[in-house]
Amino acid sequence: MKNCTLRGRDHMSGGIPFHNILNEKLYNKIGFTSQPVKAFYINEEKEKIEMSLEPIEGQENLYQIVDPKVNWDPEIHNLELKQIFEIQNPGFLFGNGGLVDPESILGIAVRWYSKESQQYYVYPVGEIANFDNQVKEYKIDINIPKGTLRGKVTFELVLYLKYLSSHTTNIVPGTILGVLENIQILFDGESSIFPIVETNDPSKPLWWVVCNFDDPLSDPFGDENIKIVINSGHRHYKNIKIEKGIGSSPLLVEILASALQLIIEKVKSTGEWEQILRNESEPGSIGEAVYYFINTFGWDYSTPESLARSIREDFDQRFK
Amino acid sequence: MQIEIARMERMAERGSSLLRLMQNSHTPILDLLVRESIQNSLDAAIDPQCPVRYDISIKEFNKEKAVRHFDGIKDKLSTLFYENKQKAIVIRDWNTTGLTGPLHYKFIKNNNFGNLLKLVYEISMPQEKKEAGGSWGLGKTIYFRTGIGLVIYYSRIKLPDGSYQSRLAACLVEDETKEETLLPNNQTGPRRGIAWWGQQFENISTIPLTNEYEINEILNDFNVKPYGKYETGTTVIIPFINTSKLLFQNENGNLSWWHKDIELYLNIAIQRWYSPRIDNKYYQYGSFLIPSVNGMIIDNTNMEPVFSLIRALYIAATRGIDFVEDIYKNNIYVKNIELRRSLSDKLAGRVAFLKADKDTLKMTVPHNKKSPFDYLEISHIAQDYNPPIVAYVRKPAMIVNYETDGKWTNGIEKTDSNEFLIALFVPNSNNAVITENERISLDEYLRRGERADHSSWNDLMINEKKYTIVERLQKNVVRSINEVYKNNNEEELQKIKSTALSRTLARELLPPFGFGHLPSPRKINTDGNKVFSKNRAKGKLHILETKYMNDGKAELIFNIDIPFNAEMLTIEILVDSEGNSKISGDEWEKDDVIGTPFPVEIKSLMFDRDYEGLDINIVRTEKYGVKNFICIKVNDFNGEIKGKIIMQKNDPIIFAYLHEKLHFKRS
Repeated sequence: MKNCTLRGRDHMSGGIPFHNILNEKLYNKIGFTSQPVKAFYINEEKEKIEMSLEPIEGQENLYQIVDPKVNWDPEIHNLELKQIFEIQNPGFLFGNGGLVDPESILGIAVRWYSKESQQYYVYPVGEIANFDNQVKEYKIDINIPKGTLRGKVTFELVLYLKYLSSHTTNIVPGTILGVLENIQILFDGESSIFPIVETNDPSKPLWWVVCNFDDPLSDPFGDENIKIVINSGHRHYKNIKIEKGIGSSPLLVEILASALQLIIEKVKSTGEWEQILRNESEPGSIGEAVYYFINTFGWDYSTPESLARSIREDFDQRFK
Repeated sequence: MQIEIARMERMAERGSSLLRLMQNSHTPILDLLVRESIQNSLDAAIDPQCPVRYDISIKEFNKEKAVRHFDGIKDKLSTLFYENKQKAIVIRDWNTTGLTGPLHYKFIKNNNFGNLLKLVYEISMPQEKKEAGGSWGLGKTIYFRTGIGLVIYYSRIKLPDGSYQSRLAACLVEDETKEETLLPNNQTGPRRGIAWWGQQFENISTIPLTNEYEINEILNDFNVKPYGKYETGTTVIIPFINTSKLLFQNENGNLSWWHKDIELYLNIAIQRWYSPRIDNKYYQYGSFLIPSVNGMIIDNTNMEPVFSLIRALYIAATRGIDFVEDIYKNNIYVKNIELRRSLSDKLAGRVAFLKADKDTLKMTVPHNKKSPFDYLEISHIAQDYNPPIVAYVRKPAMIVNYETDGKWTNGIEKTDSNEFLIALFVPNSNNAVITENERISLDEYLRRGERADHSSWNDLMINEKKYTIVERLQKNVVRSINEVYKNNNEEELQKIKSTALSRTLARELLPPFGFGHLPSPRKINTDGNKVFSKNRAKGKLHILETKYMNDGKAELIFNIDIPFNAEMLTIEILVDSEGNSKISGDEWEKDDVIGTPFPVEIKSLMFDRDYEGLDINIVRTEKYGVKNFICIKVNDFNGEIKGKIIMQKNDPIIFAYLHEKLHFKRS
């Protein structure tokens, strides 16, 4: 992997390009098409697992990576991203109305950056010259090492000036001339996290719940205050195995249903229940989470037995 | 003294009901007496700079000499108590105001009863002083329950005119339903079982004696010294006590040494409830306390180790660990207790705590002190572990209670039998509780939630809203202690997080953002970052199209939507310099910066049509006269303008920017 410097800035931010850039008109002319990005990782059993990129609700162009085995962790596993794209009429990029003169050569690269992890990487993908005036297909296959992806990461497919012909004097190689495509992937940071943790202790039960909160109206719904603990050291842990989403592990679904019931009953007994039902909890608090559960999923909290039943009815639909 | 038997009145208390009031069955009578009497003394302090002196003594008196002062019950008393030598508990304070206020209801102005009427002639009359030690005015019934119901009040006060006055009165409260009563029961009508003694007032009533000679004679018969000429204070005499009955017997009969003698017991009881305020010059809410039993002063040098330690915890929580004696200093922790809501300042108080071993508590040879559980009269039978002890106080620094089970300690790990975990919670008393329409301090909130016997805290309903401050304090205290002592198991567990699982569950069960992170959620901007943005904000310069013209010139087509009330729009060319900053033309041309003509120049500016009212100027740099600045006076124009700028760059390496700014009219 090469961490090279490309010159250029976001053109939307007021920079004046003293060169042509890829505008909408030119973009439409060159006929850029791409297939969806595919994501993979190698798990502990050395299997290559394909994951899916799923859009985050309410956020345009923001995705998260979903592992069907619910195991991938960007701190533990490398991430392999693959994509196929093509440019049908690359000739329009050169000469009059194009980006550079016919004798210069353009490069295509994937660059990704994130403010949170203060990372900026570029992976060259290929190049385009004027004499390639035919449909060009490119394959992206990049491997991002574990521990580098954090927060919201922007991936861009960019065109840049690779080799400069003698006719061109106004730009220097490395200058970014346009963005073909971009997506953002959220790795952690801002997206919600459910307080479930794992431990490994053969002397302890398969799972339990820890409630450490004082005030459900303000204490955050995070593992410092409340958590479901799953014990990978227990002899039945293998029965929790997830093959294709949470629903492929009936035992896990049952644990979650019991644990959430327990948490709701506990919160109910704190004396703040009326305020929770009026949604007076602070954002991100345990009270807000419980309010969200019972209102969004329609769990019937009126009695312990109706709660137990309605959680399971909901889960049967939710985790198919 | 003249007797005044309380007449039957509507809604009036009777002796029997008074004696039943405040039946705190779990606290021994002598402990209640100590708590109540010291509190009364501290509340009456004259000068916060000056310690309150308090003494409780057992004094003998001659029955025959004493009973003659009590008209109406002399003979009954004399026959009831056969022995001529009798004992009284005498409680005395100095540096206090004494029983001030009007001598009789007739003299009451502005509903101001004063200390005298409230203590001697009234019941259930709460303290006016907010955050005072007591609150229910019921505590004094303990005086009647200590002896036979007869209590003599002697006080010396300073009158508003600067002169001094002595006052003495007596009160009897007895169960009027008993067969044998002290008060004559020759009346046929209902009885109340309450009487006072003093000097006659308006035929049917009495007021306290104020004649020094008469008072001294009575004091002398009870073996009590009068106050000095310039002294003020209150002395309460409880005669005819039965010392062996007062010494409380615990169930298993395994009695500590202080149960064998009433004076020893009182000494321990004073320390048990007031150790934070005894001999504590750092006490910040008023006078500290110098107590004594039979004149033997209790101070930090002779306190029992466990109480000296609790005093140290109080000092650590209120002033800081540096103020604590070296023997405890190293083991004490102080943690802030914070509540995220309900209070105007989140600091609700501090908990100070330590694990003390048997050496620290001097339980080893040669001292062989008893265990803290003995000193605190907490029954603890298990041999192999010790439960944690959590105590709590309010402003007056009287221990409200010691808890070894329940909400103050639930979840704190027990220690082994060689160690004792002792904690003291001290609230940030002056903090304010946020309520809808009244302002109360945290101390006041806690006081209102105390029962009449001040033995625990409970949460309140204010304006029909249930508060949970106490409940949260308790959990927070437990958590703070656990954070220090909990074993490492729990921390290891945290290390193995199941990120993938927690994300997947979050996706299924939680909104996309806002849960599981500290601090509270940030909003993610939703501009979408599409390759070609169509976003058009008002007052922002938008480059619609750029065209490069091979001779180093660039053409920019822009538009801007000028908002109402704008006065001027400026557009300036800036270039990148080192370290991500951008510099202007005049800056660039300075000799000590670059010193050459600014490398980007505006060649022309055109608009797509004639905009009426716009006043356009292109400004040059000062030194080399490079056109780099557009100034458009708006003159009441608003709406969209569209135009074209042609610019020339004379240096391929530099990177240029347009910086636009809108100036608004001052309204």
